[in-house]
Amino acid sequence: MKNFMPILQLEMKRRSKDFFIIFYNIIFPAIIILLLGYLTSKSYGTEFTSYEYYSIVMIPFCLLMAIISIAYAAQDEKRLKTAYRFMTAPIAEAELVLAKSFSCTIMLTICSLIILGIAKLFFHLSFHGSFGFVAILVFSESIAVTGIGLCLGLACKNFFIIKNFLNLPIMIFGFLGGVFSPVSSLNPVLSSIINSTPLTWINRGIIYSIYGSDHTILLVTSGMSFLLGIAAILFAIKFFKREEFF
Amino acid sequence: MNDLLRIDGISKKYGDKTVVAKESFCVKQGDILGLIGPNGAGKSTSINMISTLLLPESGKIFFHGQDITSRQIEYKKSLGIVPQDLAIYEDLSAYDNVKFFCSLYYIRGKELKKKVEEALTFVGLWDKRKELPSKFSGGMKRRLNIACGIAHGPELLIMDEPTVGIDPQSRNHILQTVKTLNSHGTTIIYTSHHMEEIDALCNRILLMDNGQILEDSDKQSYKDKYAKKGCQTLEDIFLYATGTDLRDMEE
Repeated sequence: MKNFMPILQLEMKRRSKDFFIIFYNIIFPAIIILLLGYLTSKSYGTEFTSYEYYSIVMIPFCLLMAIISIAYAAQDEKRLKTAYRFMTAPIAEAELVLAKSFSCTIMLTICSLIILGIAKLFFHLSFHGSFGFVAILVFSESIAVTGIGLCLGLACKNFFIIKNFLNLPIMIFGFLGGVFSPVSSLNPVLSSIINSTPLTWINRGIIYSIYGSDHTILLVTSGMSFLLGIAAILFAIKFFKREEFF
Repeated sequence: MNDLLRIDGISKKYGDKTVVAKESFCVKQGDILGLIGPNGAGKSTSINMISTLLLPESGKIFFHGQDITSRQIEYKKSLGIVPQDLAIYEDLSAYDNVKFFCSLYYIRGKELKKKVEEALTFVGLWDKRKELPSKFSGGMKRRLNIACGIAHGPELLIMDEPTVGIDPQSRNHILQTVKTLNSHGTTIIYTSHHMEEIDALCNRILLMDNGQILEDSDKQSYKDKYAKKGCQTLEDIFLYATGTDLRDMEE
């Protein structure tokens, strides 16, 4: 692992200037929270405002969308033709994948914490002492998103196939998770579909944690996201294909 | 001179098509080996196998007499690559580019700084070290591409068409760079479609076509052999040996 640090430093430098990650995880959610919060403000009360609701649901959703940005980041070297140098240098594939994983997870977590800060300052989202728990969830989801994004980006040659393939399920997850408007049903089939989407449990975990001081769902969801992310990263290392990378 | 690199019967297929067929040759220490051939001859695949990017389906590659698969890290540390495509980060300064790629060869601290300075000075870019490559001319980018490949001081340098798309001044500078590197002890495998470059630089010629080696000899023997057939220049020999049919290849 002698080359892990130089690659991590380079990746951090590049990710900190990554337009897609910064835009889709700070600027875009801020605009959408403002817009949807304003448009639906009359449907919510003063104790729990529309801005609070959309802050809670939009941040995990935008984080999930970052799978696409991470898949794009995974193909940086291929796009820039520098993959040739990586593959001919004395570095292990694990060093490369781990450096990418660390940098993407750190950057996504930072962006999400910034937007949580923006939500607290400008949209008056109150954490009721649960900020630490929400931060744990955001970090865990960042790991999961990074792992899945890297797996897809490193396994598939064409980024646009990944993008088109992911857009629909992410939107469906978003809809069922109540990102665009609150969703619930008494129909057992629809109810079980809603309950099968990860965003439902992430959003439910945050709401129970902040407004009910019950952190169980949040911690279980965080644990599952963390394990999924680690498994995806290990999978990306194990099945790294040199021919696909350059 | 001792054999630095020995290629022993390597083959590679893509689907049903044999791209390289049981290729064998040696590169001696101090050589500048000109690897030439028309598009689709198998040059790039051969280079990719030598540079460990692709695994041969059969055959072996020996470096200093040892199979490279058994000591790949050591082999890679001795290898420098100047790829045909510019392999640099446009959003990092010239200095940071060379520093990063050099650091991948376990070079750190003062030694790293020294080697980066040497490489950038060598290609004439030390004064531009703080600038971004996105502001560089084509020739300057090519020189930076070379600096990234030589900074760690490789024993064997593979240069894949390093002069594509640049002006005569930059090309001349690069050719001088290659000669100087070689005089400092670096063994070089050089590919180009410009036969005058091959003539000016190389002491040995390896001509490939359809995945097979057509000629493997020192430059003078190669020229003498074909002079009897009326070929005056390397370009004449190339066309005589590989034909004049167009080689439109898909990647």
